Amino acid sequence: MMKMKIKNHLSSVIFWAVLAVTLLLFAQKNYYAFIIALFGVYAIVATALDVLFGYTGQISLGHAGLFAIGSYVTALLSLKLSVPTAIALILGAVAATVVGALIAIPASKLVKHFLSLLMIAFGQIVYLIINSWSKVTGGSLGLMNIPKLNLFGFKFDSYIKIAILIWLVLALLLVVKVRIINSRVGSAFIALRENSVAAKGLGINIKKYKVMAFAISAFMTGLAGGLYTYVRGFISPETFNGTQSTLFMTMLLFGGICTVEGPVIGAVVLLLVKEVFQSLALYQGLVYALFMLIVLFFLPNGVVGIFKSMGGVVAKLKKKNKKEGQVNAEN
Amino acid sequence: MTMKDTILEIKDLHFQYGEIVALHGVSLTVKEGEIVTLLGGNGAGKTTTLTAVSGIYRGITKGEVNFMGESLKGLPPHKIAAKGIAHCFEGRRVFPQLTVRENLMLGAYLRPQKSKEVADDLEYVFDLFPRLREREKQDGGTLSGGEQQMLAVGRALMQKPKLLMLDEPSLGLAPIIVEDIFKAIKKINQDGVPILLVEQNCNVALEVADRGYVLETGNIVIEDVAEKLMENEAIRKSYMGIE
Repeated sequence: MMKMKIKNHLSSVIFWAVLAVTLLLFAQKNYYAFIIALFGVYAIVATALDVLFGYTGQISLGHAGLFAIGSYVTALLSLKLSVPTAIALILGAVAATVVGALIAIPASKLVKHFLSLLMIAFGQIVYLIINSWSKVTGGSLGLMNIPKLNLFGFKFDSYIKIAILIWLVLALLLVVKVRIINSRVGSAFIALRENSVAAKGLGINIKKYKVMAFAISAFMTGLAGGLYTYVRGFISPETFNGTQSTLFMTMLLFGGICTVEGPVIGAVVLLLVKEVFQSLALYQGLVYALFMLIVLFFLPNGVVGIFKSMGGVVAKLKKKNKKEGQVNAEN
Repeated sequence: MTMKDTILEIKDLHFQYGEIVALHGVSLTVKEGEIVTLLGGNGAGKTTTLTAVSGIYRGITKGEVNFMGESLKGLPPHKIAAKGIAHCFEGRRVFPQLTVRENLMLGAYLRPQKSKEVADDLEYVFDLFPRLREREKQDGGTLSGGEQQMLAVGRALMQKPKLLMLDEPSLGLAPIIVEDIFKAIKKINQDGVPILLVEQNCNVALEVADRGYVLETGNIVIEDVAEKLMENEAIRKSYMGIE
C-alpha cells in the first residue's frame, strides 16, 4: 500500500529514461514537441494535486482556478506591463500561492464534499472573472501575442526548447515533492490524511499543514499555468473551465496517487487520449467518464498500482519457488 | 498522598457541545505516580472530560484545567500535546495505511526522530508489547483489535508523556487481551507515568487504579480510593452487575 517514504527504485529510473528518450524522439516534429510541452505542464498540475489530495486527503475540483491565476498573471505582466518574462512566470506562481493559501484558511475547516463544493465554487468564480472582466483579461477572446519566455538572455522561441525546459522543471518539482514527503512535513501531511484527530493529539498543527499543502500545490499549479501561457502564446477562458479541474483529478486518479510516476503517467495518457479523440470533441466527456470507470473498477491504485501489484505477484512466486525448492531438497 | 505533586487538576469544568451541556462542573486531580480512573455509563461525560483536557474539541464554558501548575486554557491541541499530555483515543485511531513502526514514529513527531531517546522508547514499547515487534512492518489497519489498541497505547508512549490519558482501552476486546493491556498499563505507571484512565469496565479499571471518580450525566457523584469504590454498593450494583 502507500508507504510513507518514497524510495528510489531502479524501476522508476528506467521509467524516466525510457520516457525521456521516447519523448525526445517524437519531439523531432514541431507538433509533437508542442504536445510534449503540454504533457509536462499537465504532469506538473497532476503532481501538485497529488501533494494536496494524495498526501493530505484534501480534495480540489477547482485547480483550474489556480492554473488560470498563474496563467493570466504571467500573461498580463509580460504582455501589458512588460515585466521580464521569467519574473512574470515566478510572480504568476506567487499569485496562485497567495490565493491558494487564502482559500486554504477557510478550506482547512472543511472536509470531503464541503471542501469539494468550496473548490468547485472557487474554480467557477475565477472562470467568471476572467470571462467577464474584458478590460483586463480580454474576456472570452482571451489574450494574444504573449511574448516568448526569455531566461537569462536565452529565448525559448521553439516548442522543443520550451518542452525541454518544462520537463526539467517537472523533474525538479518531482525531486522537491519527494523531499517534502520524506521530511517531517510529509509525515504530518500523511498523519492528518490518515486520522486528523489522532494527528492533533500527537502534537501536529493540522491547520498549518493543511494551509501549507494548499500553498505548495497552488505554487506548482500556478507555475504550470505560467509555463502553459508561454507554450501557447495565447490564452482564453475556455482552457480554465470546470471540466479542466475534473481532468486534472482524473489524470491523478488514473495514474495513481501517492507516487512519483503516477501523476505523470496519468497526465500523459489522458492528454494523449484528448489529442487522439480531438475530432470527437463532443464525446470527450464520455471518454473521460470511461477512464474514471476503469479506475473505479479495475485500477483502484491507478496505473502505477498495476506495476506494484505485479511486483507483489513476482515476489510471491519467487517465495513459493524457494519454498518448493527447500521442500524438494529436504525430500 | 497530599505530599505528592499534582500533575493534572480539573476545577469545576463546564463543557458544552453547541447548545448541549455535557459537563456540569467536574473536578478531579491526578497526582504524580497515580492511576486515576474515571468511571460511568454511556453519555456520562468521560470522553468529553478527556477531550476537554487535550483540547481536541472546544467548548469549555467555565472552570479550569491546570497541568503541572500551568493553565491549559485556550491552547490548541498540538500545544497541549507538546506540554506532555498524550491522549490515547477511544476507538484507537491508528493510522491504517502506515506500518506499525511508522505509526509509532509519528508518536514521536515532536521529538528528534533520530535521537537515542526515541530509539530507546521504541525498544521500550516493543518490549512492552512483543506482538508489535512481530508486526513492525505490517499496516496498522491489518492488525487485530487488540493489537491496534497496543499500537495506540504504544504510539501515545512515544510522545514521552508526563500524563497519559487512556480512553476505554478495553473497548471491544477479548478478556484475555484486556488482561494483557492492563498489565502493560500497570507497568507503564510503575515506570513513572501518571495515568488518567476512562473505563466502562469497572472491574479491571479498579484493579489497577489508585483512586477513582464516578461520573453521571456530567457530574462527579462519587470519589474515593479504588478499594473503597470496589466495595461501594451503588457501583457494584450499577456498573459491576453484582447484587
